[in-house]
Amino acid sequence: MQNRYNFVFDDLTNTYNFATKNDVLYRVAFINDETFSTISGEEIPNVFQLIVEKSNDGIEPYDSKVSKTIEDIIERFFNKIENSLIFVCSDENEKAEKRHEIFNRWYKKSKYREIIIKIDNVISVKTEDNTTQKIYTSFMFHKHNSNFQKLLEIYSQFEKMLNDEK
Amino acid sequence: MKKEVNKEQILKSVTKMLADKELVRSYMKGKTSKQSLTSKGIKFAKPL
Repeated sequence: MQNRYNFVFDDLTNTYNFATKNDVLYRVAFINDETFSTISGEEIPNVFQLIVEKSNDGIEPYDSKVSKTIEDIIERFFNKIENSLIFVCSDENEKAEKRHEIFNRWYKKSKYREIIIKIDNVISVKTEDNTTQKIYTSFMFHKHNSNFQKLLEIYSQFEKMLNDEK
Repeated sequence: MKKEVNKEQILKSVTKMLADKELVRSYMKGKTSKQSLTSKGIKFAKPL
Protein backbone atom coordinates (compact mmCIF):
# COMPACT_ATOMS: atom_id res chain seq x y z
CA MET A 1 0.00 0.00 0.00
CA GLN A 2 1.22 3.47 -0.87
CA ASN A 3 2.29 5.67 2.02
CA ARG A 4 0.96 8.79 0.28
CA TYR A 5 -2.04 9.97 -1.69
CA ASN A 6 -2.20 10.49 -5.42
CA PHE A 7 -2.58 14.12 -6.42
CA VAL A 8 -3.84 15.79 -9.57
CA PHE A 9 -3.48 19.25 -11.00
CA ASP A 10 -6.80 21.06 -11.14
CA ASP A 11 -6.84 23.41 -14.15
CA LEU A 12 -9.75 25.32 -12.70
CA THR A 13 -8.09 26.32 -9.43
CA ASN A 14 -4.48 25.95 -10.65
CA THR A 15 -3.65 23.86 -7.60
CA TYR A 16 -2.43 20.33 -6.95
CA ASN A 17 -5.20 18.52 -5.10
CA PHE A 18 -5.53 15.35 -3.08
CA ALA A 19 -8.26 13.92 -0.87
CA THR A 20 -7.55 12.04 2.34
CA LYS A 21 -9.20 8.98 3.86
CA ASN A 22 -11.11 11.40 6.11
CA ASP A 23 -12.56 13.14 3.05
CA VAL A 24 -10.51 16.25 3.55
CA LEU A 25 -9.45 17.96 0.35
CA TYR A 26 -5.98 19.48 0.37
CA ARG A 27 -4.84 22.03 -2.19
CA VAL A 28 -1.20 22.83 -2.84
CA ALA A 29 -0.38 25.98 -4.80
CA PHE A 30 2.81 27.41 -6.20
CA ILE A 31 2.74 31.11 -6.98
CA ASN A 32 5.44 33.06 -8.75
CA ASP A 33 7.40 35.04 -6.21
CA GLU A 34 8.98 38.26 -7.35
CA THR A 35 10.42 39.26 -3.99
CA PHE A 36 13.94 38.29 -4.97
CA SER A 37 13.71 40.18 -8.27
CA THR A 38 12.23 43.27 -6.59
CA ILE A 39 14.89 43.38 -3.90
CA SER A 40 17.86 42.70 -6.17
CA GLY A 41 16.77 44.70 -9.21
CA GLU A 42 17.61 41.70 -11.36
CA GLU A 43 15.31 39.15 -12.86
CA ILE A 44 15.52 36.09 -10.62
CA PRO A 45 13.40 33.38 -12.24
CA ASN A 46 12.08 30.08 -10.85
CA VAL A 47 11.35 31.31 -7.33
CA PHE A 48 7.97 30.19 -6.07
CA GLN A 49 5.99 30.49 -2.88
CA LEU A 50 4.44 27.27 -1.61
CA ILE A 51 0.98 27.39 -0.06
CA VAL A 52 -0.84 24.40 1.41
CA GLU A 53 -4.43 24.63 2.56
CA LYS A 54 -7.35 22.43 3.44
CA SER A 55 -10.54 23.32 1.64
CA ASN A 56 -12.55 23.15 4.85
CA ASP A 57 -11.92 24.44 8.38
CA GLY A 58 -12.57 21.24 10.32
CA ILE A 59 -9.95 19.49 12.46
CA GLU A 60 -8.63 16.37 10.80
CA PRO A 61 -7.28 13.37 12.73
CA TYR A 62 -3.54 12.87 12.28
CA ASP A 63 -2.80 11.29 8.92
CA SER A 64 0.85 10.57 8.10
CA LYS A 65 0.03 10.29 4.41
CA VAL A 66 -0.63 14.04 4.21
CA SER A 67 2.95 15.06 4.93
CA LYS A 68 4.26 12.25 2.71
CA THR A 69 2.13 13.53 -0.16
CA ILE A 70 3.32 17.12 0.28
CA GLU A 71 6.87 15.82 0.51
CA ASP A 72 6.36 13.99 -2.78
CA ILE A 73 5.10 17.20 -4.42
CA ILE A 74 8.12 19.14 -3.14
CA GLU A 75 10.51 16.42 -4.24
CA ARG A 76 9.07 16.50 -7.77
CA PHE A 77 9.23 20.30 -7.74
CA PHE A 78 12.98 20.04 -7.22
CA ASN A 79 13.43 17.70 -10.17
CA LYS A 80 14.07 20.99 -11.91
CA ILE A 81 17.30 21.94 -10.19
CA GLU A 82 16.94 25.69 -10.79
CA ASN A 83 13.63 25.87 -8.90
CA SER A 84 13.63 27.38 -5.44
CA LEU A 85 10.91 27.71 -2.88
CA ILE A 86 9.93 30.18 -0.21
CA PHE A 87 7.59 29.19 2.57
CA VAL A 88 6.03 31.69 4.96
CA CYS A 89 4.24 30.40 8.03
CA SER A 90 0.76 31.74 8.51
CA ASP A 91 0.14 33.43 11.86
CA GLU A 92 -3.51 32.40 11.94
CA ASN A 93 -4.46 31.78 15.59
CA GLU A 94 -0.99 33.12 16.47
CA LYS A 95 0.60 29.77 15.60
CA ALA A 96 3.30 30.86 13.14
CA GLU A 97 6.13 29.74 15.43
CA LYS A 98 4.54 26.35 15.98
CA ARG A 99 3.98 25.89 12.23
CA HIS A 100 7.59 26.84 11.64
CA GLU A 101 8.75 24.19 14.13
CA ILE A 102 6.53 21.54 12.54
CA PHE A 103 7.85 22.40 9.08
CA ASN A 104 11.39 22.18 10.41
CA ARG A 105 10.82 18.79 12.06
CA TRP A 106 9.25 17.54 8.87
CA TYR A 107 12.24 18.69 6.83
CA LYS A 108 14.73 17.06 9.23
CA LYS A 109 12.96 13.73 8.85
CA SER A 110 12.65 14.07 5.11
CA LYS A 111 14.72 11.95 2.79
CA TYR A 112 15.31 14.88 0.42
CA ARG A 113 17.22 16.97 2.97
CA GLU A 114 20.46 15.62 1.52
CA ILE A 115 19.88 17.38 -1.79
CA ILE A 116 17.55 20.21 -0.81
CA ILE A 117 18.97 22.92 1.42
CA LYS A 118 16.66 24.79 3.77
CA ILE A 119 17.57 28.14 5.32
CA ASP A 120 15.35 29.86 7.86
CA ASN A 121 14.84 33.53 8.51
CA VAL A 122 12.83 34.91 11.38
CA ILE A 123 12.08 38.52 10.58
CA SER A 124 10.85 41.03 13.11
CA VAL A 125 8.56 43.64 11.64
CA LYS A 126 7.18 46.69 13.43
CA THR A 127 3.45 46.89 12.81
CA GLU A 128 1.31 50.04 12.57
CA ASP A 129 0.32 49.81 16.25
CA ASN A 130 4.03 49.76 17.13
CA THR A 131 4.11 46.13 18.22
CA THR A 132 6.58 43.68 16.75
CA GLN A 133 5.40 40.84 14.56
CA LYS A 134 7.67 37.91 13.83
CA ILE A 135 7.49 36.47 10.33
CA TYR A 136 8.80 32.93 10.05
CA THR A 137 10.17 32.16 6.60
CA SER A 138 12.07 29.25 5.08
CA PHE A 139 13.87 29.21 1.78
CA MET A 140 14.67 25.95 -0.02
CA PHE A 141 16.85 25.29 -3.01
CA HIS A 142 18.59 22.38 -4.70
CA LYS A 143 22.23 22.01 -3.68
CA HIS A 144 23.20 22.07 -7.37
CA ASN A 145 21.28 25.26 -8.16
CA SER A 146 23.72 27.34 -10.20
CA ASN A 147 22.27 30.55 -8.76
CA PHE A 148 22.45 29.58 -5.11
CA GLN A 149 25.04 32.14 -4.02
CA LYS A 150 23.01 35.01 -5.39
CA LEU A 151 19.81 33.60 -3.92
CA LEU A 152 21.41 33.25 -0.51
CA GLU A 153 22.82 36.75 -0.64
CA ILE A 154 19.38 38.21 -1.36
CA TYR A 155 17.59 36.05 1.20
CA SER A 156 20.07 36.94 3.92
CA GLN A 157 19.29 40.61 3.26
CA PHE A 158 15.73 40.05 4.46
CA GLU A 159 16.82 39.33 7.98
CA LYS A 160 19.85 41.60 8.03
CA MET A 161 17.98 44.71 6.92
CA LEU A 162 14.72 44.19 8.74
CA ASN A 163 16.23 43.10 12.04
CA ASP A 164 18.72 45.96 12.02
CA GLU A 165 17.30 48.66 14.29
CA LYS A 166 19.60 51.36 12.93
CA MET B 1 23.11 42.60 -6.41
CA LYS B 2 22.66 45.37 -8.92
CA LYS B 3 20.97 47.91 -6.72
CA GLU B 4 21.39 49.10 -3.18
CA VAL B 5 19.04 47.30 -0.84
CA ASN B 6 16.41 49.51 0.64
CA LYS B 7 14.94 48.54 4.01
CA GLU B 8 11.49 49.89 3.19
CA GLN B 9 11.41 48.00 -0.05
CA ILE B 10 12.30 44.74 1.66
CA LEU B 11 9.64 45.36 4.27
CA LYS B 12 7.09 46.06 1.55
CA SER B 13 8.10 42.92 -0.34
CA VAL B 14 7.96 40.66 2.71
CA THR B 15 4.62 42.12 3.74
CA LYS B 16 3.29 41.51 0.24
CA MET B 17 4.57 37.94 0.35
CA LEU B 18 2.58 37.35 3.53
CA ALA B 19 -0.51 39.13 2.20
CA ASP B 20 -0.38 37.10 -1.03
CA LYS B 21 -0.24 33.91 0.97
CA GLU B 22 -3.29 34.80 3.05
CA LEU B 23 -5.23 35.78 -0.08
CA VAL B 24 -4.37 32.51 -1.82
CA ARG B 25 -5.34 30.54 1.31
CA SER B 26 -8.67 32.32 1.29
CA TYR B 27 -9.07 31.53 -2.42
CA MET B 28 -8.32 27.86 -1.80
CA LYS B 29 -11.11 27.80 0.78
CA GLY B 30 -13.48 29.30 -1.78
CA LYS B 31 -13.75 32.62 0.07
CA THR B 32 -11.93 34.81 -2.46
CA SER B 33 -12.36 35.07 -6.22
CA LYS B 34 -9.62 34.42 -8.74
CA GLN B 35 -10.14 37.97 -10.02
CA SER B 36 -9.11 39.32 -6.60
CA LEU B 37 -5.83 37.44 -6.89
CA THR B 38 -5.25 38.63 -10.44
CA SER B 39 -5.84 42.23 -9.41
CA LYS B 40 -3.08 41.86 -6.80
CA GLY B 41 -0.69 40.50 -9.42
CA ILE B 42 -0.67 36.95 -8.02
CA LYS B 43 0.23 34.38 -10.67
CA PHE B 44 -0.18 30.64 -10.20
CA ALA B 45 2.48 28.31 -11.55
CA LYS B 46 2.49 24.69 -12.62
CA PRO B 47 6.09 23.72 -11.92
CA LEU B 48 5.58 19.92 -11.76
